[in-house]
Amino acid sequence: MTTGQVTEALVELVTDTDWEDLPGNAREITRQTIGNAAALAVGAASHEAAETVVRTLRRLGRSGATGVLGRDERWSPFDAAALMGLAIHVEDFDDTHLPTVLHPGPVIVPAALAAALSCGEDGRRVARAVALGTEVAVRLGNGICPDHFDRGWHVTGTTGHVGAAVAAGVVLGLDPERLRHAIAIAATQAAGLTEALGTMTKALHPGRAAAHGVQAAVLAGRGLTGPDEPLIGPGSFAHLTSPRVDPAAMLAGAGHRWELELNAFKPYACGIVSHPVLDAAVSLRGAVGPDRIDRVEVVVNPVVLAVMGKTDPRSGLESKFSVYHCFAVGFLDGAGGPPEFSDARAVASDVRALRSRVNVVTTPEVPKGAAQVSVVDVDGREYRTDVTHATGSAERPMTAEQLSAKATALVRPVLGDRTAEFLERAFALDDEASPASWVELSSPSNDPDGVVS
Amino acid sequence: MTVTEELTTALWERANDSGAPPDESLAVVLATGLTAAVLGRHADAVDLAVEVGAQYGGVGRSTVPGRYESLDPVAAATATGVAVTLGGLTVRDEALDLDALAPLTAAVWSVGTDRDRPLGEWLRALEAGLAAQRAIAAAMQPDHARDGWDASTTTAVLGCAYAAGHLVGCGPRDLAQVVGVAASQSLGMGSAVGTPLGLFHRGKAAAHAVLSAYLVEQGFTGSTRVLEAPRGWFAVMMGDASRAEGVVSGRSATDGLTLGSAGRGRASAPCSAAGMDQVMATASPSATAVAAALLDTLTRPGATASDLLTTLTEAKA
Repeated sequence: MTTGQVTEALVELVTDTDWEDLPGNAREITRQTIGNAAALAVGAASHEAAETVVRTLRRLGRSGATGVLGRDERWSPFDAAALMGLAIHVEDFDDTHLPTVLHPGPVIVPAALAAALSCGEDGRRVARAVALGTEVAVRLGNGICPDHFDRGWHVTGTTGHVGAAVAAGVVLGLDPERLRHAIAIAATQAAGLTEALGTMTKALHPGRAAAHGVQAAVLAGRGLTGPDEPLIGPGSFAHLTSPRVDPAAMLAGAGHRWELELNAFKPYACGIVSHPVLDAAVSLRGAVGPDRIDRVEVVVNPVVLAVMGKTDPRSGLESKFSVYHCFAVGFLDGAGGPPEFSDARAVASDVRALRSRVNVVTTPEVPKGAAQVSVVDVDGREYRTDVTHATGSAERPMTAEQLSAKATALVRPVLGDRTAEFLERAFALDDEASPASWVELSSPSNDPDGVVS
Repeated sequence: MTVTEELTTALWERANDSGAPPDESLAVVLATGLTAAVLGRHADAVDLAVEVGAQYGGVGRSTVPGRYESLDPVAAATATGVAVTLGGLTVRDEALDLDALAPLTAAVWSVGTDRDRPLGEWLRALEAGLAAQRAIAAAMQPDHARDGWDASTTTAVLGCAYAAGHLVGCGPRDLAQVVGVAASQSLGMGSAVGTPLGLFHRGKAAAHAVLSAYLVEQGFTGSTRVLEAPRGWFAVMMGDASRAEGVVSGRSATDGLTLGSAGRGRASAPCSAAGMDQVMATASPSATAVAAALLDTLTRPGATASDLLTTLTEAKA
């Protein structure tokens, strides 16, 4: 492969790789990516942001035949992909390719699934599409991050567009030339600003990327063409959006080393760079009563304040980007799931009181995945915890049991007794003959007893 | 007051000042854009946009000027933008190397027909959109295009957000949020210009802005300081958030704009009724009559969207 033809090389990687060609661990990570995303799609299907999008779609007169995980309505495959992508991402509880900080699940899974539902493809095709869409998105990210992200681009929304187009293109069976054009159609729309963190728009990024990915595959399938090399070179995606572009990093080891294996699953529903602080807060819980805390000293990498610097968030969405809030709920509640990042907890008096006593100091000497946290009580006693690798990191990944427990907690309130069957099929979607019937199982009205337990 | 707040407040106040009627030059721009859409409406790329919009979009009250398919305003914006692009007419700010015609025509037309807003409001929306796009582009050009972006598309996402936001009735804060949501859907790689994909750029810019306005109308939230924020529009597009300081809120919508034709005559003329006649004469045999009829309707006091649709039907006949 030559670095001068990155798009062609990535297309070749996609068209040359069947599901069975992937190493066992890559297939397992793909299954987990799908299962984790599906659980989030169901768990957050009725989130306020999703309901807002549904009202908008209704106002636009939209409808269709494609189901959506966790909802009863049917939409076009574009809108179905957008809705699922938004729901999977809105709780900031999804997954992360740690080298790029890209969240593949909310972009690639809905694109592949919506495309499959629109044409009746089976689960194995979806799984292959998720694996290859993820691989392309994160490889593209490897060549431009962290500079791309540091500039303000939300990489999930940007390279996610390209990965979603690949995923949908694989499902729809595009030939190599049309797949290249699908990539181009998606790439020119690749967008998403990290200024949107803390607003509903952040979750719109993967939703729109997924929708545009499916749309790009459909348009390319009907003959729309773009530039031959949309990813690299003057006026093309990478050079427009990053001051540093490394084509070699995009292609290094392609076909032999699978970047998708670095996708990790989030134990907490907030920005990932705060996870070590949350780990520390949970571990310090009980050392001293919250009323006896004089101050909390947190030492972290500068990226933490750059992304998570909201000192007094006023909503659940904002609280997900507050390292102060992360410490407070970790210490007070001993957890960091969606309930701890609700609108109510964002403005709760006990949380606000503790947040106000958190001091954050940054230094590049502390790695991004680490934190040093000290709680000093009113008598001057200090309780300290150092976290070198957070739960959910590459060094301390969530176990299969932890991931299963997370998924169950998300899905059970919506699906009740159907939870086990739904998740069993979700985490083995590559064996699923009918993704449509699996999606149907997640419809809230599809409750055999008429009551969700 | 931040840059985004200042620009948004100024544009909102101007658009909602019920005093003087909109300047005729705004009607000239819109008549030119709609004429271009009529001229380009049967191109293959428009057929593709309509086909996909009809199959996957909603059933709405909008369409492509001169066509019959019922489309939702987002799909109509895409297809109309493609049609205007292929119609071969331009409205250029030469100093900024900017052609604002296709996206703003598409945004104003698609929302205006969907909401059945009075034509005077269409022109006020167009004024806000043009002024915003030129004010923002003035702080970016020529560097932005030199960087490889299709500047007429990227800045149009924001201009169209102001136009669509006005037509759905946003107050200043919601208008800023529409811009915030739209900015996160920017598009326009320079490498796509000259390919069939490039024909979709301006329509997509309008469509993304229209969707943003409809989302915010339903309560969707976005940044209200997206231009100047450390990781906002100018930071990602220019690599320098401080470039937002170059946005001048009081910029005129139409002063210095030039009408043009890429057709047989390749004419250009000032943005006036006379200039429009001059350009249309070189565009196509039917263009002059269509544009004149549209201009007459757009400048008629109290005229409505229905009047404009009637004019288009008669003009086609």
